[in-house]
Amino acid sequence: MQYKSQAVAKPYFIAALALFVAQILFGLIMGLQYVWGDFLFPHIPFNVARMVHTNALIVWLLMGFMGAAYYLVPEEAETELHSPKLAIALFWIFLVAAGLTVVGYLTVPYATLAKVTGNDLLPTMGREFLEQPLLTKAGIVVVALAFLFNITMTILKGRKTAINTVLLLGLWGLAVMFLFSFYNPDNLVKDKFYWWWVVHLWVEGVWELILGAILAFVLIKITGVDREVIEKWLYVIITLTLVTGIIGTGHHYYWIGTPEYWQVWGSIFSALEPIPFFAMTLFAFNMVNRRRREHPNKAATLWALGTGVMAFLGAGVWGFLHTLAPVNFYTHGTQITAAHGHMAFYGAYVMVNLTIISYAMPLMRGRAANSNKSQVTEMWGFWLMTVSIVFITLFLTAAGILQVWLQRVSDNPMPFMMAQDQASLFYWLREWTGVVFLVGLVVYLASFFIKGEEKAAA
Amino acid sequence: MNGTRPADGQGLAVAAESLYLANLLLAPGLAFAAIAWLWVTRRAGAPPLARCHLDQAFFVSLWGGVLLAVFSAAFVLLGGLHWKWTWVLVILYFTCAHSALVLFGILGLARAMAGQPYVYPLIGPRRG
Repeated sequence: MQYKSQAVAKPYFIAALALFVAQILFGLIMGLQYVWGDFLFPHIPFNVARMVHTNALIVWLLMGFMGAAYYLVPEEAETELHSPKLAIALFWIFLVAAGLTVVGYLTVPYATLAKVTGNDLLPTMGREFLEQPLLTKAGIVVVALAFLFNITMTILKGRKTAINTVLLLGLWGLAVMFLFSFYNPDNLVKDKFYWWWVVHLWVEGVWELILGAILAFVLIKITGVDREVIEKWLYVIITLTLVTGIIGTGHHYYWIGTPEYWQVWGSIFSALEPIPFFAMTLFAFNMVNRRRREHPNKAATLWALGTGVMAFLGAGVWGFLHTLAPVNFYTHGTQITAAHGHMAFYGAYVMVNLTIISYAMPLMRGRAANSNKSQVTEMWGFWLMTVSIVFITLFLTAAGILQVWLQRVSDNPMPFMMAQDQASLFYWLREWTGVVFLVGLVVYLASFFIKGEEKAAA
Repeated sequence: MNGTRPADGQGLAVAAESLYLANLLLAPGLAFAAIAWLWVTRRAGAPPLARCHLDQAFFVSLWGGVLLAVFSAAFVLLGGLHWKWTWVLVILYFTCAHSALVLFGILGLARAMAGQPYVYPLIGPRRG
């Protein structure tokens, strides 16, 4: 670790991993509720478990991004962070707000939560992924602005690199797009139209810039390949991302009441959306093949390569699978979407967070890399989680194809719940694979506590 | 561990791997015709690196065709189009097989761009 203030990333990473555990536990609860409907009812109903599962994911990924920014920006800018104290204060504000929100979800009926948190003043709640109370949303904006101030000031006073610039662009984009969560028009078409400006333009837009910047930073460090080479790749990737991803938003506008031309534009541009992920995979493997040093942190290299591969599969291939309008006419909102969501989020954003955590945590603990024993354990965690998510995706895809056939293609279409019942075998398989994922996560976390002969930091 | 100077035959190696991917993703058949043409006309005098990638791209494309078309068609013929499990199996099989072939192709292209030889897992010819 070159700058003392980089250490503020540590609590962010620790909290992110704790929330990751919560996300997986609630995922397992709702996975079980798919096949055992009354499980934990009425204490944790399905809609609440789902809300905690998805919200915990979003918050821990944001925590991870912030930690990543606090770690890599000072090193790239070659200067200390503008205000480490502000970073720590924001960490506690964000964590407490996230904790209180989850407590609210779990202890108070959602309608009551909306009432007591002032949703009447400016109705923003009740929409998928943006269920947070108004107060939490306002808190997120305050934290995001203060965080961006801190990061921007650091970059302004130091060296400006392509990585810092792309990261900053992504983080500002993230904050700006979140503002659309406050716009909740009565017209349902308009509501969904702008809702996607948060959801889609985050994950298939600005988050990809953050992903590219973090991956590029780690690849420079672990491969020793010239910065110029990596930066050129980064520019190509973000250009491809924005060119395909922005108009690619149209793949969400097929059936919500928007004009029909979105079926053409959405199909064409979203069919191109795998290209940046293709480039990212090629980039990661190309850099590792051309490496000029053997970095002792093999686990971080594995995570970096895994990010490219799994993002390409989850976001690229499984996205393409149901993105063309004539296909989406049948598959929209089925388990095929869930399959895509699981592998895309894991492959792109979970893995890139674990990549930077894997790279930075040993350095923040005073060593270049963890002991061999610790790294082997971490790699076991990698494989258990990654293979599990592949199978979760396959089982959900199978459930989705079955659902489409029974519910939408068949001459005698089945009602939704009957079709779900037919897919129960796949839901059971998904649940057991989820248990293996949890085991992988525990193994991964255990690797942090395994000692052994460590390589000292340079 | 390579420098910046391209290795002997690197251009041809990259072309072969790119055409392999194009055959899977952009222009099936047409891109394979281009690989076959390169394999027939350029293989004999090509440096070892280019020969390795040409062989891999040519033979794995053939294998890929068999794996994707023949097996999928066989599943449809055996199960029939009006059986739900045919669709579950064919879509899952095709997606997984196609994705695996593409991923191996990306690894092959990355190796070619780094001036290194590459053998596709399981179906790549072992002798260069």
